[in-house]
Amino acid sequence: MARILVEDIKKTFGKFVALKSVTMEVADGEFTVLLGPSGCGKTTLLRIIAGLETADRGEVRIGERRVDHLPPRSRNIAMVFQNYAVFPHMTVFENITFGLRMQKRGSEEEIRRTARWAAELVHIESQLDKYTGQLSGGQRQRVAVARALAVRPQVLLMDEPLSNLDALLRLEMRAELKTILRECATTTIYVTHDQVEAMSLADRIAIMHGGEIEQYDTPLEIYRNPATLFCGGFIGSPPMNFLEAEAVAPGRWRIGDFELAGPAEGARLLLGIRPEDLEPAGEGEPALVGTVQVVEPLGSHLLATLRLDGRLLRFAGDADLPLRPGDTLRLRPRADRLRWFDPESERAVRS
Amino acid sequence: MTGERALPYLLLAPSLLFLALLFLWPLAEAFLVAFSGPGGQWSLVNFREMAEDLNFADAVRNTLLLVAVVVPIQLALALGLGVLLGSLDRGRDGFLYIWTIPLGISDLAAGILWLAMLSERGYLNSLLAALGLVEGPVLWLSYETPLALFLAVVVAEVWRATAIVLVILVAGMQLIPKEYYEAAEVFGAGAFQRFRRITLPLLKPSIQTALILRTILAFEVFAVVVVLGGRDLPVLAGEAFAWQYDYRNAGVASAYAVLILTVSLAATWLYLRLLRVREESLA
Repeated sequence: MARILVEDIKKTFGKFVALKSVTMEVADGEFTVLLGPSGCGKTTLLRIIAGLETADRGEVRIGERRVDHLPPRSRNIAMVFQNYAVFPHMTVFENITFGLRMQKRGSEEEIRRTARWAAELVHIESQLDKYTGQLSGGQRQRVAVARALAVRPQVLLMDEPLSNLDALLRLEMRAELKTILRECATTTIYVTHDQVEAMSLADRIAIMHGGEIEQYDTPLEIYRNPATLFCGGFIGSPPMNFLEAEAVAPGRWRIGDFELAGPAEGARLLLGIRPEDLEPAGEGEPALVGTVQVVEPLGSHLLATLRLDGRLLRFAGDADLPLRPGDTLRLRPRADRLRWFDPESERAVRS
Repeated sequence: MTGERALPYLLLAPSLLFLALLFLWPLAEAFLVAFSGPGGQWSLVNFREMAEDLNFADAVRNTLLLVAVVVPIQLALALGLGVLLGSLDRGRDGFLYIWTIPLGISDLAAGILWLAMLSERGYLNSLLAALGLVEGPVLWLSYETPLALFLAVVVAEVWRATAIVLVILVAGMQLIPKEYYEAAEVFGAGAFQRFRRITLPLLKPSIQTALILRTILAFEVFAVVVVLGGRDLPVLAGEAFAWQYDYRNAGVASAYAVLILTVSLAATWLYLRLLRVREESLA
């Protein structure tokens, strides 16, 4: 158990800048998810913390100890890999005890007990004598998690551990992982490109884009208050709507014929509004007026894509709304959910 | 449907026929010759004659010794070189090409090459003389210096045929996913432990292939020995050759051939048993 401190990490591969200058802190016992599209540098950052990659500059600290000059085995970490990396020539038991044996931790009796404990935690205690080749993908990943927990690491690093599993299994493992890791209270960094996974698991999410952390906050805060256009567009399915707004007077903004209150500064801004934060407007109320293009009934709610002055707008509403393509729909954004962005800097503007 | 099922067999037929004609038939023929007496009846007379020959015990001992010395050296060297190659970031192919050059040289040419170095007027003696270590030309490759002759053959064989082991092992090492090494490293394994716990066990199928191939070829060692030592260092294949062409006795020559085949088969069987890879551990 320890906090992790990453300071001013830069990494290039040839001419490609993988990480520009990343600084972040993960609190003791915290579960942090690095989230971003492929190529954003999230896996590179994880591998630098693990010691499998060397940064061009910067510091990594685990606990109070500076570790960036240490080999992985001296960092007191454990890792779960995307394609499991459980050893095929060893049994489940030998895999789980691998770290303990390599680090000569405890007597044979203690090693057995720890392996038993880890195996029970991930529910594979009945498979201990099998070779990992005889196991399914889900079971192999359980072995990988048990192998990592068995060494009782200060820090647990997970690199897209669920992405090779099929959708249903992923859902199941996600919930289970959350329970297990809560129990162990190990400081964890978890890399994924799946926003739902990130939202459901994380204490805090670091959204990475182009080798930088764009926002590092709790899942709900990122969802409600994205710091950048990218964060708003990346988190949420469908993503946040962005509408161009013009200032008509200080603090008054216009989108098409619709006027609303907003930030006092600026001439042109983007209004960010989530699809579920739009409501049908009553007759005569000022509203955004669009033509329904596509209606997707999703059961729990209904998703409509509207055309509004040549732009597309997504609206998530009640599943029973009688909408058909071609209908005209009048929508009103919820005033407390309006978010404003500067189109130049792409950053949020406080209203 | 039946046509489609027969197709693979049809396609395999030519190579099967080729094998039968050029391999199985001569093999059966050699067996027949080896086991028939002067009148053509079944007999072990050829084997008795082979065993009673003065050179026989030497040939068996020398051949077994050569195998026992050369093959382990080659395996160890190839493993070492393979690991070194694997840790290179660039230039790996270049090194591999250079190290495999001896593969392209026939064993006879390789023997001659080493003869040029080790004969009494060879480079080795010139070098030793220049360094003042010897007075005049020293005879290295004679029946009076069996150990030097044996070592010369070992060196020449190692130089000539280690590359094939290396190629097989390097190909096998490239099949081991690098995640296994990363996982091992994260969980505390140092370089030697990674070699012992990951490389060696996962390389077992390749090691097995390389060992079988090299051992069979080592039992047949011939050209290098003939060039360097003639019959001063008798080996099994050399004796077979001598009985066939010097003594014009195809029966005893065939008996030697059968002996070499039997020893090779036994060695292969041994490797297959000792280095068996569990079916379930292949993922």
